[in-house]
Amino acid sequence: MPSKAIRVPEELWPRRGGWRGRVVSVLKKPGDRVSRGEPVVEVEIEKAVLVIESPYDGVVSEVLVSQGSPVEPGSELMRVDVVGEG
Amino acid sequence: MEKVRIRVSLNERYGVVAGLVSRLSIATVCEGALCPNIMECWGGGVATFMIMGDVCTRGCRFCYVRKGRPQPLDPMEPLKVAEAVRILGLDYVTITSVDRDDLPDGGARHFAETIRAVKMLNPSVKVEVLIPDFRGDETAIRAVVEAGPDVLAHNIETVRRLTPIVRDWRAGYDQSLKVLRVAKELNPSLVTKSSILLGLGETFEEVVEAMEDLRGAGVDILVLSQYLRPSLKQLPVAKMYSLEEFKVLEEIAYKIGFSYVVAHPLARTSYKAKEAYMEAVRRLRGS
Repeated sequence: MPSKAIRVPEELWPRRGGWRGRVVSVLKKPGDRVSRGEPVVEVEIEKAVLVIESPYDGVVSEVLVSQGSPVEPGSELMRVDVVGEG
Repeated sequence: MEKVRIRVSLNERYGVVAGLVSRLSIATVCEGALCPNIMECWGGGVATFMIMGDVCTRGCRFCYVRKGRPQPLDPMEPLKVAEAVRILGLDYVTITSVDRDDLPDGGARHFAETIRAVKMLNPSVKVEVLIPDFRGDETAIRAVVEAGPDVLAHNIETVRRLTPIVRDWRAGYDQSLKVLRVAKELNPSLVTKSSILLGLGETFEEVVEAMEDLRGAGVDILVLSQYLRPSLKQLPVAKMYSLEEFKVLEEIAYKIGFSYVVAHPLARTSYKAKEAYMEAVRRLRGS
């Protein structure tokens, strides 16, 4: 099973990078199953709370952030062993 | 103060819009203002184009669009926007711009050329423009109106008392009312539109006064939305309005006489613009 990263999407406001946020909640832990489209991490920016979804089906192998972690577009949030690929 | 929650869900059409605007180098206010509706709009295949660059000459204290010395105008931009409308297959397009106080006409001619190019390449498309104040210059306003947009929007943004605090020093409450009034006088069948951002410290009475002033300037469509602070550089949020408060203001706005009112925390001037236009026209023709 290939391991893939779930990131703060750089495609969100793609040509307006430079915004920063901090993790307010981590909704999955290592070993948890995760489905594509399922919320995994919530990131607070000044304007809103962004609910980040998993782009993959799989099993969380590693969580790379915790509550309060500073993040930006492209930051890795967790890694997932992806089901149905490879 | 509880913040709004945005589900970051990027579908295939979102990727198509992102790729297109990047390839054609067209700025969008969706990106420039960190719009919370970008997933819904781009995911539905629509974007609000922001012409004349992505750097604004004004320093409004609610706005996240980059400020400073702008780039030279791109003479190909009108055609690029027209091409983007064609590729996306839009039947309704919203076009806004940065302020260009550095240009003698404030960019009015470029705006007009963009409207004409979009209509030439896409004859059946409806065009909604959200224009700067052109410092109240009637010749500039006329140039845009004569290019034939279907909807002309100009935002008053806030109530009279807060205008000097919220908007750039070159903006003005009465100047914005004048822009809307002049546009309507030049073409009485033109649908006009304006937005008020709520939550900057205004009172209920001041909001009602602003709505009455807008209607007095002939505005047809009113947008009421919640101010969300884009970063620590902008003004703090003074109040988060409840859905019930939006509903109350919406009802008052209809009593004042607007043809259509979009009142929602996440509403923005161009949000669901086609629906607002269709409904406003239906009601205007019906009355």
